[in-house]
Amino acid sequence: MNKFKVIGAGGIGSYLVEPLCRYLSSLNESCEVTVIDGDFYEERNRERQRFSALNVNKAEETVNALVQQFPKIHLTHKAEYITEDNVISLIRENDTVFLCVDNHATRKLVSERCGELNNVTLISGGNEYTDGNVVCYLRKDGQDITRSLTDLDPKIANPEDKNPGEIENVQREGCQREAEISPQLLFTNLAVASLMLNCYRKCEQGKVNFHQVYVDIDTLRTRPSPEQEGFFL
Amino acid sequence: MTQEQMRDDVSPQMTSETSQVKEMSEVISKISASMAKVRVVHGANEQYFDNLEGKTVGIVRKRLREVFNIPGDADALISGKSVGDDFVLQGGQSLEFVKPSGTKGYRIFHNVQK
Repeated sequence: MNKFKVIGAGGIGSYLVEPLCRYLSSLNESCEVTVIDGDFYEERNRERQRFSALNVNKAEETVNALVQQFPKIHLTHKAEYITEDNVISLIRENDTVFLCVDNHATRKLVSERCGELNNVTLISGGNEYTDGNVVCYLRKDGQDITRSLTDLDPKIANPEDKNPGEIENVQREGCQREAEISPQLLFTNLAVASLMLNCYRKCEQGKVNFHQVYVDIDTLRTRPSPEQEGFFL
Repeated sequence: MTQEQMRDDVSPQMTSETSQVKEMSEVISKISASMAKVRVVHGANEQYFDNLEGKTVGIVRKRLREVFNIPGDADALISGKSVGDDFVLQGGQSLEFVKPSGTKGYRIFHNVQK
């Protein structure tokens, strides 16, 4: 069975899951898609994300909205953040991982976990207001085919932020949470989600000749980096 | 062999050599032109510019901020090394403005005591 993990069901993840399921449904292969997120919908999410009720877990809501549409896909959810306690059980050998989070700490955790596996595909996306990028970290037979997230960016290797799963519930609920959140635009989220799926397609074709791809919806450009002749796979 | 005949024998060779010299000149000219250009990159945006040699990074940042969507806090790199806005560009160099990769939209949680 092909196993897919979508980590983060917010602005990017929630728009990635449906087309992923639709594509996988069209294949004659047994697939499992697990959506993982410990966050809950708030009113401020409404301008970019679809949900039917407030204070519902994002992963659960995303799966519930899709499970009837895609009976061929084994759709499950985990209403929890990725942490050191659960990362080993949640990310396994031969997984394809779509990482749609908004903090370096989780990116580092997931990248390092993938580095422990012999075969894994990690596709990580993120965006600012009008531009974003997608990083593809591939491992095959115990070797890095492309560069890991921590190798590509020292700020991911040494994150200044916190994994939301590591913050105590008391602290999250009892104290004022001061979040420096860069404003987000729905169209950029969509562009990055689409780009992540396109990168997945390139991985499946064995035609990866880049470590990451940039997108800018203001200038209407995308650019793989670095571009090189030939493919890694 | 008459002088005309000797000239006819030599001419095709000279034509070939002249042609090769001309081709090489064109190639050298193109290489020289590209060496004078400065490559500027930010994310998805990339372009070679003729008129940036001798300009500072700060001027380029200011001129291209809107067209290339360059955020104010982007680092400037030349050959992968960070440079200041007073760095003077030379032809053939590649100037890249960077934000951390795969990290966009990251946020910091602080726990503020009531």
